[in-house]
Amino acid sequence: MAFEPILTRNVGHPEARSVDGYKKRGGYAGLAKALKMEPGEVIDEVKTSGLRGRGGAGFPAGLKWSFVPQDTGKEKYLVCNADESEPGTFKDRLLMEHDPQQLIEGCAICCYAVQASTCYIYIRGEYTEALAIMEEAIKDAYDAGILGDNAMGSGFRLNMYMHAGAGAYICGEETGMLESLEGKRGQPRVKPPFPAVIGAFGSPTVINNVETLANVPHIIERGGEWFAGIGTDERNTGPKLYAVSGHVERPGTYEFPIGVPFSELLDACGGVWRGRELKAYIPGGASAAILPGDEFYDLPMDFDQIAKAGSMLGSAAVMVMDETTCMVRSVARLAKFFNHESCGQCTPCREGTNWMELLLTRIEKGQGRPQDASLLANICTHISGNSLCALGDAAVGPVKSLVETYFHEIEQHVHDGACPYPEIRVFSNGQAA
Amino acid sequence: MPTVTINDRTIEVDRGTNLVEAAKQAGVQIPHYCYHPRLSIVGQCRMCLVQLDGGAKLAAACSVNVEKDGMQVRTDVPEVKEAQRGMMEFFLINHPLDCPICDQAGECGLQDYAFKHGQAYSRFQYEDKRTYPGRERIPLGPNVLLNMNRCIQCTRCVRFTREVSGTGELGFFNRGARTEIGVFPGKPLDNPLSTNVVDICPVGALTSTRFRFAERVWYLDKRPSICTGCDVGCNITMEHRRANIRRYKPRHNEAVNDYWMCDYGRETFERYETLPRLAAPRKRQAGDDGEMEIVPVGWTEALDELRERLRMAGRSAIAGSGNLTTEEAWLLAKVAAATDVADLPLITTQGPTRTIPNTHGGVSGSDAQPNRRGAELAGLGGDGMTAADLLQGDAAANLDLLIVADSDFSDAAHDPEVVERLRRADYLVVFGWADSALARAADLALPVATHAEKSGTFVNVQWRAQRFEAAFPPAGQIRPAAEVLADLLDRFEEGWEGATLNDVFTRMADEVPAFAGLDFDLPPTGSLLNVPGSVPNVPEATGAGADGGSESGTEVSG
Amino acid sequence: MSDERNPATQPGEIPAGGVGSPTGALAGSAGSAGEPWPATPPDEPVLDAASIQRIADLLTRYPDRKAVLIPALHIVQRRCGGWLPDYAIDALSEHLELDPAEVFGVVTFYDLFHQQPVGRHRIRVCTNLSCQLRGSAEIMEVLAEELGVGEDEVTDDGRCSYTHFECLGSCDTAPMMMVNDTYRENLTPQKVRSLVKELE
Repeated sequence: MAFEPILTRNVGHPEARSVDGYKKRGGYAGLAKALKMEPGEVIDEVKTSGLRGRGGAGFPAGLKWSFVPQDTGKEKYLVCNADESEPGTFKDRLLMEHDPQQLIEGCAICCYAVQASTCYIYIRGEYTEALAIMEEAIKDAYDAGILGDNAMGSGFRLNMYMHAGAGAYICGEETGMLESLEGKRGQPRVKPPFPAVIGAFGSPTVINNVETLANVPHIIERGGEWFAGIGTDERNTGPKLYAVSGHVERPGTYEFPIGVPFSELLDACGGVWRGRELKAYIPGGASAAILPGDEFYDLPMDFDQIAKAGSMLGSAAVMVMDETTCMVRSVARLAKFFNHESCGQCTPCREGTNWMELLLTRIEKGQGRPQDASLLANICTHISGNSLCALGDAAVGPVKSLVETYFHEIEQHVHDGACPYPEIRVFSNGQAA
Repeated sequence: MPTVTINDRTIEVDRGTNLVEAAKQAGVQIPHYCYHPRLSIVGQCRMCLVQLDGGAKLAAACSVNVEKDGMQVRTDVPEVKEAQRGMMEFFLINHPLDCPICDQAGECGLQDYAFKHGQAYSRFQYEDKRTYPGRERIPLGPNVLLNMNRCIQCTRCVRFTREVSGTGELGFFNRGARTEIGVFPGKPLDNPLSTNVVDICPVGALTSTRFRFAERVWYLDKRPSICTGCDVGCNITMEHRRANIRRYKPRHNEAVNDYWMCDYGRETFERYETLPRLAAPRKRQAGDDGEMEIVPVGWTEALDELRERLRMAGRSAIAGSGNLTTEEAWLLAKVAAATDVADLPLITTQGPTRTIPNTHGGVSGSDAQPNRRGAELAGLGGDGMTAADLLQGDAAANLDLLIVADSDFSDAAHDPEVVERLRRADYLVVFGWADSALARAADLALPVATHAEKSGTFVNVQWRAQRFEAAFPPAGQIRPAAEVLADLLDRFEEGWEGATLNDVFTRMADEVPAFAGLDFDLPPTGSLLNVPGSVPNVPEATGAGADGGSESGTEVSG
Repeated sequence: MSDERNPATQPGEIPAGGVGSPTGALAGSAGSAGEPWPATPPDEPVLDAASIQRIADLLTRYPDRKAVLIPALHIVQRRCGGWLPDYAIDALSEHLELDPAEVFGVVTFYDLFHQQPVGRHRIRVCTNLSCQLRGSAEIMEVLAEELGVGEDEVTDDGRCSYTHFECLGSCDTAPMMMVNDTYRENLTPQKVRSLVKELE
């Protein structure tokens, strides 16, 4: 049975960027329905759907919304996480550029459910085109009475603003994002208190990823049970966008029911490029453990099964690597990324990511020593669980995976005194135009 | 009050107590850098990781307050020790091996914790340490020098300028491993409390320009005392090497100066090191050739001479100052009473207002001397001749005998015009520690101790009586003034020979209503006097008191 | 009257979130379009009436003044031709009543704020994993060759500067780079050469 696109149904239909065009294609039915429900009922529906966060953590969205205290008298906020800086991830950009009203609708429903009257969409500063498209869409939504003092005539006041970041991956961490929104350095906060209690500007705040919120109109329109019927089981529900990049013929964003086998995803991308063999893939962003291609070729790509395989679905940023790829080089590049992006507050991450980059660069250059692998592993144990936020644990992911799964590649670098793989040369043999 | 068990020691604490403080109460030291009781909690250094309720993931103790009953905390399990070892290794991999040239050696948080919690070898062997080229000796302001290579990014200094001094000069720049602290160009670290960041910096990244390379701290003898820069009376630790004072550091007293002191106060000891010292009693007398000459005399002869002068004198005055201790001032007043001296002008000086923040609104003082209030309560000043009469007017010219009990009462004591005016008295007696122009003009000059060399009581702007003890004994013929005055008084009244400070204080407490009921052994945070206008409702909380601990260093809430 | 340099903002419109219009046409006002401001303060004030008005409009979105800082920094950086001289940071700190050290801390934290002069055209090449796998190193080599300067350096005529960058969220079109505000995707060495030639 062919899968009808849900999240990407308006891709290729630029008229859907306007409220009118979006409505003509069935949009805003979800919001209209939600505004006739009790806020608590909306939350329940999202709970029933089993929607788990699509930003990387996979936390149940309905449960998160229910943490917001009901009667505080304080202003409440929704902050939509459109920072999308996880390497390999580009699905939120697609959603914002091609179906901005879907995101606006999802945010509006969430705001209504938790009774927040202000929504900030924190978008990374580099996404200039998406920012412009979203701003125009928001303006249109105000003009059409979707947003403003009287959302869709319901009496519910809702303001929505775009807020551009300025280039820091750590601002994708929820409390880092709140700090940045408040005009400070994007340094994550000590938790507790959690944002649902003390978030933006000292007030209860919900933070959700773009894709998570994009699912919400559909859940309300067609029901949580319908949504829960898509996917693998009750803990892995709904459609999922897979952003596939790297050594495939057709990199891009693909929508499947969550839990699609990797082999099917790879087929949709045209298989490994240039007729080469699959070596390994990263299933969910830079912190996910690397999975050898042959062993995990048919792995269903949902939260639980990938976790059982020792990795994580994360943001579903799938990076495919062919047989010419040096794992040490790849992990060294990710270590460099984490070192660059560490906010510098806490000791294990600030010093540890720095040390890991130095070590891996040295090994890659062929100056590795025999004890370096166990040193790397030990450094990982000192970082894991000890850092102030999850970036420390994230940085450990690929390094740990390199030591555990590709120890022989480290050994080879050390033994050879050089990288055994060829330099990456994509263009020199005149292959590309 | 909830109970909390730390390493099998169960104690009760106030609800909301920070876990690091609670552990301290239970006698368990949880290592920490970024935590400070007066600064916001940031949970950054990760040294304070402990096992909470047997959980698999360690928790930062500074980020936990004791709210619920029965929390189980362990710091003695292998997981915690491994984490501490790991954190210490992380701190040290990029830290320069500067100990031989670093001021902080001997009171350094990295040294201390590396020894207690770290490992004895380095695994950072083939990489280059991160450095901040060109930022090894940057003056952040007039008093503070930064060596960015040594910084462990604990952010105490930045939080201090934001939360305590409120001046916000320091910032945290860049990101990740390149993070550094600094000031915005053209806006240096220049506020009256700036040197406190040196105290709270656990390492030698921030050092005091005044103390740079001055002394190795393990040679320093550290004694509790009180600052004499103004009437706030910050509690200090006087640090000296063989009677040469090298440094003042603030000493914790929650009721007065909390953990802080001002930059001006820190330099006030330099006076003792730079002004020439009055070393032995001297008398001016006619020599064989009829010329007046100054000759040394013994104490007995000197005091006998003074007794005679007091008996003979028609009009006399005894001038005190706000630098005198309360006991000295009171003994002076007793001498005056015993010899019918009616004029007791009190020389005081005003200075700029100095404010020290604390947990109850801060303390501000504008006297340039530590004990005007004590001197007044003890009976100096009052009606009769005033300081102005003496220093600006011609009152001295009418005196047979003028005793000035402080040769360094203010800058005026070194002013030739003022000295000349005072010299017009027939017989001039000067007590003091400084061999000032005034002392050199005296007929009888009597050397007494600085406040580093004696014990006594000062009454500060809060009307709080604070005791300080001698850090080291006076040299040679120099004696504490209270001893000298008791000796002198004994020549007029029975029962003062060999009087101790305890004797003096006890008798003073009997006769001066403000001191009624006070025991000689004052509590460590001082005692509020029974005086209208004394600061009410100030919590008599525990401070470090007179035990010599400076508590603003690295270990333990410093 | 609309600001000709910013056609997206008309009176009565919801003002831009801070980065600017899709045409990327917001340029500094000193000298020719896109000319970076000098390191020493020019005669013109950093915060002109238009900037002050935009910041004031943005302030209405947030319950706290400080939240407008990053959007305001974007505005000021545009005005100064793509970087933030110290005097600009000072002027903004004063306008927003914030400590300059704190504002400087924010500026230096983020990768899109520059404290050194940049070229009129700022190129950011993604070299993260997916782009690395698809040849980003070769793109960097071509740029070095075409522009004749190293990373983070400005060409002598002030035209271009380039740097490597972390993941820009366009991994399906790797290798790619950002030229000013526009993504240039699916690059090849030849494409890069012709793109660079078009930059004035």
